[in-house]
Amino acid sequence: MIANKDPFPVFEVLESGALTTIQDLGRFGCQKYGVPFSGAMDDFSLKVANLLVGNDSNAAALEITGLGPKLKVLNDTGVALSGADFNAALDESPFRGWRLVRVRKGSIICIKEARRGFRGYLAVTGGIEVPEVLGSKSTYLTGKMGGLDGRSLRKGDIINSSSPEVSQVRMPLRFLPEEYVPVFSSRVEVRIIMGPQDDCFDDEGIKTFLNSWYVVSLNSDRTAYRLTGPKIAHRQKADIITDAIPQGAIQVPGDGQPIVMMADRPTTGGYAKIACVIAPDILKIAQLKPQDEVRFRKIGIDEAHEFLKDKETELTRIRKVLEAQATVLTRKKYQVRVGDEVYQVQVEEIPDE
Amino acid sequence: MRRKFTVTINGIAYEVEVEELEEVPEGIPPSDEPSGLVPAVSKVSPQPPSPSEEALEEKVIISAPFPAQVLSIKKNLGDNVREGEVLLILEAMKMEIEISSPRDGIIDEILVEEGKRVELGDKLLTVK
Amino acid sequence: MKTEKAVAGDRALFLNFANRISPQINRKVHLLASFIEKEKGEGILEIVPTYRSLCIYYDPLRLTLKDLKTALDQIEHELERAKKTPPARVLEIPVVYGGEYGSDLGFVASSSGLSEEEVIQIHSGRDYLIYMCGFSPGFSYLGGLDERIATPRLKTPRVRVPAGSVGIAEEQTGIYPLESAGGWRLIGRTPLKLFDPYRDPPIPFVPGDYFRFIPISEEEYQKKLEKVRRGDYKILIHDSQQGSFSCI
Repeated sequence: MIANKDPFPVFEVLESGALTTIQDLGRFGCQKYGVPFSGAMDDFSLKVANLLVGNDSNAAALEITGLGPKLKVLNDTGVALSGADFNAALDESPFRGWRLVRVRKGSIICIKEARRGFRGYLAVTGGIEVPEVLGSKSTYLTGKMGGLDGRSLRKGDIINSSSPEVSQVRMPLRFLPEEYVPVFSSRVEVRIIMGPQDDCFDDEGIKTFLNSWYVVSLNSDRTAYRLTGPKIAHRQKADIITDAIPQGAIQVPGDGQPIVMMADRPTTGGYAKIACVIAPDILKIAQLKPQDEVRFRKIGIDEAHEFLKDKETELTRIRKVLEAQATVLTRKKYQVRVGDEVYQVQVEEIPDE
Repeated sequence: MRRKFTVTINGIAYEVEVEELEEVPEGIPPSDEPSGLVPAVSKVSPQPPSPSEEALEEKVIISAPFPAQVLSIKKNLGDNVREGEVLLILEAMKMEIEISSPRDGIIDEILVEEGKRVELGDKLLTVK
Repeated sequence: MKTEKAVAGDRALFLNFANRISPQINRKVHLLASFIEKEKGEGILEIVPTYRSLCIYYDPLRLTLKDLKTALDQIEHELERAKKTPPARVLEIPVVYGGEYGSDLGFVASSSGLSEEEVIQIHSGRDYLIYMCGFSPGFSYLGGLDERIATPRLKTPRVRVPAGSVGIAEEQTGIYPLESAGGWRLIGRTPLKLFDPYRDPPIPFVPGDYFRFIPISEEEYQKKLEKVRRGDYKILIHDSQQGSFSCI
């Protein structure tokens, strides 16, 4: 509820983009009140963007969808763009993702269409400052809570960060080495664990589910990805006694078309859940746009937990790699004029390992 | 000796390695060899995503950023538009997406109709 | 009664009781939920009780599935020995019926072949068990509507239903805690705020409690609404063990 520091304005929204919201890692412990996690649809990308700007991995950032916003920088700060590969510019220069970029007051960040993937994260040093609602800054659109008054960004909005300082010394250059940068595909295989209600489907239905490509429909959103494809047959009926819907659960209503339940899903529901997408693969779904395709591969629970550990280990490694980048031997600033162009140049010597 | 530097040009950081090969005696023209230095400056030469001044006479094609439905077209053929003005609204994934003009100009062509489905990269309209 | 366990992805486990809706089974669900809440060690993240099952979210990096299952078996065992029954609490929910607050009251009455007064009497004449909270923030699934006033949903849902609206859909009745779209037949409205994200906890009831609808006049509604807005309205709660008191 309480904004802990004086607000430090970082962006003015000039264009909102298709759907830009404030998200952290989500709101936990409130499903028993009917409130879902919300939070970043691609948690890995949010965490890395935060680490790049020197934040805690759970800090709030902008989640960008398909077509990004145009932002005016209101104060010097550090930003990092992660997730989908966007066609983006900082003033007249290309704005590259997966690295710390220092931005100056008055600069314009213009994020256009996503070339690969669908959702991006723009983190800012200090994290975005909005009041916490039920322990999180995440925007829950249908519940109209969290983020900026529970809604997506609009033209004219002012975005604040919670820290006025960019730690210049500790972050000379930060970028995610190529080998860690995820490559998003428009045709993905997603790993699932069968159940909890796979017994509602006959053998033929399960075979269809596991052997077909499904297409992302236009009315998918942060609540759910609705897929179309070969009909999955139920044994008798599609309805169950209403119970909880975990994130990544795949519901199959009477029409036999699967629905993958995402961050803003209703907490409970009455359709049979044939399977659940494993946590590390949920972001693969989140990065799909309409018309993209997905198929499901069944794995066991023990295997799934190994993948979860691998993902955690990878993040620990990334954290170490980024921290190792944070040493500067010397720093000099220049203004370089080439013809009519003036460049602000900073040269920092870093250790050669 | 090889040394590593971070060179930040207009906010974009480049990691460069510099190796001093030999001292060049005075009077000898500089070699074409880039001495192992990454030519960072040439990388940041302006490649504006929106049309630069010389392109002002040309048409800008505005295409669909992803598959969607055309919800409404805000402009007519021949209308004058300003940069940032909303030209049409697309609908997909329960989002209404305002597509705005990347520059000042005149609506030259309208290539879609309201209610029509468009695919990724489909041309929507042109501004000249 | 032993539960059946079902894996739901890599971070959730369902504990299922018998496959039917009954107050007895639901009571066991909530009792078990409260036990786990109390006993939960590291690694159990959150618990979502529903009609006849519990969904337990856990962190597999801190608690293995095997250890979780063992811990749950032990809790269930203790629970059986404890034979504890939770107190039955009844919350009074003031409702102004009909008029602009419940514009479908007339329809419900005529399609049931009753007068509006009779519908109000029937609707407010019994206590409703809160089976579970879910779907959307603060929404409660209530049991036991008198079938004489059961009414089908609207063919086209309303775009905007005000917060606090009391409605009927088939043999269900319920309250819209927040303004939303909805297809239930609206018969009245309560001034109470049944969900407030700035309150801790955000809902004034726990599943397993009962709602008792108390008909009030429009004037009382406005007065109570004002009190709710000022934050000094107290809900009257009847407790089977502690008697009646007011809170929240």
